[in-house]
Amino acid sequence: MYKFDYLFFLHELWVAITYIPLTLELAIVPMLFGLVVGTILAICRIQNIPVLNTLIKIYILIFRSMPMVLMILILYFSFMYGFDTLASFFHLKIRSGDIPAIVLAFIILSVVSVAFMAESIRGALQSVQKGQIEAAHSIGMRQRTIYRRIVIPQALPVAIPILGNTFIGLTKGTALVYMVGVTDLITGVKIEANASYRYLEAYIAIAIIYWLLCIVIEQGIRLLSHKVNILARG
Amino acid sequence: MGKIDYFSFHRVAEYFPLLLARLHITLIIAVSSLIIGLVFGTIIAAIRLFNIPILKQITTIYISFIRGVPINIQLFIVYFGLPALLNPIFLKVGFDLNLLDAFYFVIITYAFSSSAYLAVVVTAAIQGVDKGQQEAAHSIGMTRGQMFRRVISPQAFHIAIPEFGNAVVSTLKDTSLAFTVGVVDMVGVISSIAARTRHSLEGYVGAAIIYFVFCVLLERIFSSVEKKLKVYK
Repeated sequence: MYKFDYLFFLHELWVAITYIPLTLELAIVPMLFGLVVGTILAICRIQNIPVLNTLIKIYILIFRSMPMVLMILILYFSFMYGFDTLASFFHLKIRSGDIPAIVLAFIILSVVSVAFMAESIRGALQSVQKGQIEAAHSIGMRQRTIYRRIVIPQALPVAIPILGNTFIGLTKGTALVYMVGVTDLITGVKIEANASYRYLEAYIAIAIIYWLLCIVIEQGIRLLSHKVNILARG
Repeated sequence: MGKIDYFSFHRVAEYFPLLLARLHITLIIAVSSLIIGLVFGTIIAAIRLFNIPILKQITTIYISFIRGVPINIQLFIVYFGLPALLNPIFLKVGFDLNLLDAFYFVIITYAFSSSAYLAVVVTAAIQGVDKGQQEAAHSIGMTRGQMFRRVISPQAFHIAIPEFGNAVVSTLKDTSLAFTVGVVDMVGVISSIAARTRHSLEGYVGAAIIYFVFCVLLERIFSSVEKKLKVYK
């Protein structure tokens, strides 16, 4: 009969709590990056810029139709090999092994996040009625003014829940970065359990922290979208 | 230092048959967990729709947990937790859960997980059917069973298709994590190939291509079903 070790569980819970800032960093940095680059890509797609539009479409399709683990592993190995090739080409002493794993994790998660963000943002921007944009054109607004004053204020209430879901997805995605060698929440908590084989306690502690994070984020988004809705109504 | 051969398409082609030989394990995991998930998901949806006290609150917590915890963590909790919880009972009938293949734990986890997502899909679909339809069915004297069978479920089915498609695709994608508990599926076999050839990247690329094809195919199928059904509307 398995005896659940409550004391060890509480200890693991505490260890997991100390990793919350790192987990949030791993989610927020790629999200912000994805938000900026994703917006640019979304606008490129809406403006229907030739070639570029097709390239972005392929990029998004590939990243959305593949499991995240495989994307992470492929990006990891490609980056490592690519970096080494480049470094030896330029006769640099630095090798991919010298790059901190956390930097790699940021880069990889950002590349993944851009694809998801771009699609969410495009959906939100296109939810604004065509007539609105045409009306703005007809009174002589410039493209940039239209985005700033017509499209974005209307797209924002639509965008926030979608982006929020993407953010939750990214937060859960941080549970995979241990595969590229980052000492994250999972590794940190698991190390403690290695001596006693009490992995069940460790994983339940990890699960509770992720669960709490997701609940807090969800509530935050709900609050934010409530506020924005009030603002949008004017 | 000589030039190191990091990536070759030749190796991707070489690995491909080896990966395809394991594809059935991935598909069995996805299909069986979706079927079990759909059954449980429908039961959960019924509990929520009929507003059964206590049980409804439990389902709320259950769904929130599944949606808030990364699937690979759920996998390990089931993998370690299920034997810990149920082994005393199973040992009495002479069956040791610790000896059960990881494969079954993976199916159980994904069945749990998809049941929560599918419960949300089913609930939303049934609630999405216009209230007036129910009232109309009542007014012409249909029984509850008739109403559900002939009025609500056909419409709910239609509403559910796109979200159901998403759930199927995401469950399929989740199967890529089965290797973390030691299942030798399409992804799990890569590490044994890599142990021989010392090249794993090509394996991951190959697996990604297979997943890609399946996901795109499924999305196409679901969107064409959706379009077909629109005709009947």
